[in-house]
Amino acid sequence: MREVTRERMRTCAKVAPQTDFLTSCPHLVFLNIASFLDIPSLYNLTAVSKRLRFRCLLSIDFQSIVRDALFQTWACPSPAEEKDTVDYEMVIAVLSGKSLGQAWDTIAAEGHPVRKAIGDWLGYGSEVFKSPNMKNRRRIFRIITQLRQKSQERAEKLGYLNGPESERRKRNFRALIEHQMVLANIAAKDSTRFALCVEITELFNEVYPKIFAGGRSVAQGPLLVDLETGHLLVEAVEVAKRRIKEEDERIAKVGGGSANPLDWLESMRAAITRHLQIRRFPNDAKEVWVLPRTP
Amino acid sequence: MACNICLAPILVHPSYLNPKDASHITQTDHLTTIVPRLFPRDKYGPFLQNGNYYQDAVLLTESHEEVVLKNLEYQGRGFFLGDGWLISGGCYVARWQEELDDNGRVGAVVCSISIHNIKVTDLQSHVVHQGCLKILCWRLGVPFDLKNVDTLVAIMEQHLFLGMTERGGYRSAGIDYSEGEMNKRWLTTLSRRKDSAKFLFKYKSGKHDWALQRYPTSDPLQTFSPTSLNYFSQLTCL
Repeated sequence: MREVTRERMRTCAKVAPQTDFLTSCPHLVFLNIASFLDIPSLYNLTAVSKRLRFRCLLSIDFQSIVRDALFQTWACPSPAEEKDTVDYEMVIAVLSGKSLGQAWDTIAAEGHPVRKAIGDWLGYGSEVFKSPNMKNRRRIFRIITQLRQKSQERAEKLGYLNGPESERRKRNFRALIEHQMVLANIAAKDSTRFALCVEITELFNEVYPKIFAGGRSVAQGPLLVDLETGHLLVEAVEVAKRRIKEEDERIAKVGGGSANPLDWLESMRAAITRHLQIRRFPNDAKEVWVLPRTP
Repeated sequence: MACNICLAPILVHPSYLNPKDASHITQTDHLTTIVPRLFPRDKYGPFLQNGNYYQDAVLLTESHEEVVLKNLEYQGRGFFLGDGWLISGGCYVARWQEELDDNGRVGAVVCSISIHNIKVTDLQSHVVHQGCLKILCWRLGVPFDLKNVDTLVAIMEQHLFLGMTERGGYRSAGIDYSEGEMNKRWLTTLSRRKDSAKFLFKYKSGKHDWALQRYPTSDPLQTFSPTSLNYFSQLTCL
């Protein structure tokens, strides 16, 4: 972050003595007042008089208050974006033989708007909206605000956010997401857990017809799970998570799956024979693997 | 296809269409573009620096699903399974599955929220820039971690309540994308056809700008045909 330039300091040169409260109050009181102001008010404060402007520009604490306010807006990077910047610059600095402290100084000196940087944040805030990229960023922020408002309106209208069944619906939807994460977990290319994959898939296959009895509107996605039978999915997810945990512990104990590879191969062949059969998909010429329901 | 949030199209150059290396896609993130190194520094320089990049760039469509989904495998029932989705960083959508009865006919219809199963024909519906997704997660108050249940629940709730999208964006949900100074930028087209999509790009200072205006006159998915420009032959060489 850049320091306050000489040109900016000239805007508050030849300061006349002032006796008003804001100019003459103790610094801590002044900072305490400033911490309650929004961004437009902070900038207005710097334009009240040359004395106040001088005080604001040179105060690191005041600039930090402006920084913290700016970090709540589109003008500064989100935590995830900031982390990327810091990580990248840290790696570059360390690779070039600098210490971590020097790396931080490098990041700050190169003008990255990171949360810990000290500098002329008032100047940053007055310049940031001028670049085309930041204009686009501000546009994206406004779009995201719209998206959030619209989705919340719809969710409230459908009784998802408020209402007597809100908690149950949220719990069911969360289970729906977790169930997909469980499937993604067991579908990872880890052949040592093939039997577990089949077991959990069968578990969910038992539950599916009972819980998806509602309408089909995708706009009602989070409401798709049947309210009365949704607890079955919640319970199935818990069972699946417990089984995965047990299996992970068992594999960790054994040391990576079956001790004998041929045993594992035999168990997998048996599992395929027992659980899978090839059927022809009626609307497609390709052969597909289909998991039959458990009799 | 376009980003669901900022509505900027997903551009890719044929020379970067390497299914085994999706990190070369032009626009994984509108905030950290590769434009600075592609943008014209020398008009007599190499191809990627002489200003012709956008004239030859293609709009990523469902024809290039391998780029988006690494290690794509057909799973049956119209579903594909892939290792990752590098462009979007992951934004998932509900999908219907058809289930076979004992006689092999399509029977009950069940639904699942798809995380790794993505129907390729609807791929354009849920592509998101990683940068946009980071901002979205921030505004939703969840960490940008797509293995986190809270993050997925927040994103999915919003996505599903807003409804399905058509070639990116949520216009059908009443979202206004018209804001921005989009009319003062460099004009180019993707396929050199008069009726194709026009991209407005501020040429001189465009190195920091990904704001693009798309589809002003016609439907690029219909007017642009990768096969007519022999892009598939280039794809198979990669």
